[in-house]
Amino acid sequence: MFLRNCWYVAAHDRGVGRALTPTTILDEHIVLFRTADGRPVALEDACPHRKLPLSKGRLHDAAVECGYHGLAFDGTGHCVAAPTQGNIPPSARVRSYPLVERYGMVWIWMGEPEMADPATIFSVPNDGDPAWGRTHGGVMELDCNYLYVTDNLLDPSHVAWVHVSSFAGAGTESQPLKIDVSDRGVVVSRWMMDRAPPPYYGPMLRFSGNCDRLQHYEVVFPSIGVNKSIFTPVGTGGSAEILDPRAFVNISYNFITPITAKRSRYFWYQHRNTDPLNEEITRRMDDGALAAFLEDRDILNAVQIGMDEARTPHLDLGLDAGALRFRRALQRLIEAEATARRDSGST
Amino acid sequence: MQGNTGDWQTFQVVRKKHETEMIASFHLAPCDGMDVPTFRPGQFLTVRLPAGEGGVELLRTYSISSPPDERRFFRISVKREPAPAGLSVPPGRVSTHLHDHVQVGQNLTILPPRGDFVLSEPSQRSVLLLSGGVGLTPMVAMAHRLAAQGTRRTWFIHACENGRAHAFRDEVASLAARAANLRTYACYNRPDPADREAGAFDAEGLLTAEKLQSFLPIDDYECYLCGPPGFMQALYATLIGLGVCEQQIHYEFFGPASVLKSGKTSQGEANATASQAAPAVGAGAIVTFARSGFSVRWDERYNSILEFAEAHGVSPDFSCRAGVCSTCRCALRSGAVTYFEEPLAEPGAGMALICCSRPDGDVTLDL
Repeated sequence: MFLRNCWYVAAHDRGVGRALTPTTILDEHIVLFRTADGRPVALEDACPHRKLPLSKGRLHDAAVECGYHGLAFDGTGHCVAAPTQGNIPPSARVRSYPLVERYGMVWIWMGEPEMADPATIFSVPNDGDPAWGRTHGGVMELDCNYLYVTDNLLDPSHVAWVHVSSFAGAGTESQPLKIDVSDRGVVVSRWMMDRAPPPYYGPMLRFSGNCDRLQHYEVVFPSIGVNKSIFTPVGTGGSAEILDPRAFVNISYNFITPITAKRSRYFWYQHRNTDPLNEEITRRMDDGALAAFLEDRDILNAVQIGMDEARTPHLDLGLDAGALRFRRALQRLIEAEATARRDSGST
Repeated sequence: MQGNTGDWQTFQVVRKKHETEMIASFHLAPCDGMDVPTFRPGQFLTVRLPAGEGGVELLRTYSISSPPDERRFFRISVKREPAPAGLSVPPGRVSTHLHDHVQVGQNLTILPPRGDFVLSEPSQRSVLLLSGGVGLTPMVAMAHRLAAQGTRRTWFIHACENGRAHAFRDEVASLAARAANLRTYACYNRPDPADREAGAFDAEGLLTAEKLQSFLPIDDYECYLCGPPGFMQALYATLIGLGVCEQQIHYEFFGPASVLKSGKTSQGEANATASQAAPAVGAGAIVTFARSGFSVRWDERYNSILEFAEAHGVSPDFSCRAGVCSTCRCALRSGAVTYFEEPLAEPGAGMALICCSRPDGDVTLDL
């Protein structure tokens, strides 16, 4: 049910410090902390003796000490102290997860450690470009399966019903959506020509009058939503690659990390090609995104309950086409991974 | 997404009128007081009844019988379909419901006008409107248009049982009295003594080639045909026999060639569907709706087999219309389809998803 050989966001880098922080990712209990020299570490959160969570123990300079009998483990998961006996048992070790800090987040590799390649971490274009502004972003937990979140991130049509207050004026749109399935994920997109700019974005545009507008809803495997909006003067739209210099681009990055089958963690930030230092715009966009995601959470939590307790069949509608194609493609990757694991004899 | 089946609208019944013992007209006006959408004479409305005890929605299509210039309301005229004598099948559910339970002031849910059985305009050919029974409803709308234009020589030829079953006689007669280009011809199969007394009909028995030849001048006619299957087959053959080329014969079956929303066919219902294949007209692959019992040439203007089926009164079950939910999966009795959208799940051997495919040569569908 989860793709394992890939990178997930475990935390914001500001969320990992010199404290033992328990978390759960893909049903696995993990303790996060930083060593005294600032390196982030992720260990299996269970002492091999009686499985007391290590997060209930104490953090020393470079090791975590179990709060039951003092077994201590370093950042690689090896036991470095067994104070109740003279020898450290060779099998006294906990699993250590590869971590990489990038884009202000701590990325964790949940699969076979030898396959962990930082080059395969999701790539954010224009990261670090001083002309681009970035919001602070946030994190929240949802009581639903992560695929209900990816469904939502590939479905522009819910905006008219769910985000009535936060993205007011979005309305319904008759322009058909284009669905592209690739090795990277699924994109649902459309260009809408000669439209009035929505009030939310209007003040950020560097041109007046109507705009050509791109809505680009993408989910990249395993579960990263890229929601790109482009507003460009009428007559200059149609391509996301060749942009008019006046075009306004805002990209919302949404990193979904499954906690369990029915719980998900949602990290996000937004990236725009204007006003990099304008704190007021940043705050406004942070507030807007949070309000919208809270609206989504309210719906998706209730969807999970509704689907769990359903006594009659549910429908799939045309608006689900992108989401269902994504689910199918991801399912194939998960099955291929399971097959490869079986063939190689590991579990 | 493609298609417009999301366009259900609520209309109010503003008048209900019995045209004959068995046929009732319903005048349907938009609830918002606006004009009705424009339509081409010959088109139909799709009426949806909400799920009742059986738990399935029922869809039926009814031709619009009102004048195309009437913008305040649509008129549909519905024949009550009783249980057939000697058979243990129920009466037509939708027609019975409309007759017995739908009254003025109630709302009906409909789709805007659709269908391509329409009066060819701006052709100036002479016109034969040939109808049997309640099949005259689209012809009434066409007659209104032709009378208003006043230019094309038109024959309104109607076959029915007798005067008591003859709907819209006065309406069409008054049109003919005002429009010099419109003439009428009525053929009663079993006239009553009262019909004979009133001289209400022009011929008795079945409508035959001889009867048509007896009054129709030789001309280049555009022919419109609507009625029960036996009538359609006989008249089609007759017209071909009289030298009318098939491109100039337009036809539409009436009655529930549609299926229930559950995917079951209406074969058990009283007004059985057209039972034999009609001759197909035009070029291209022949699509046979096996359970509905008719064949039609594929028309490139339709995006999918599903849309094509709906346009011909067949209502397959569906949900997404985008190839992902498999609700419209149906058995392919023969032939093959090509997908313009890859189905999310393989439909399986001998099966097809009709919302995202078109025929690849002649096909026979289990619909």
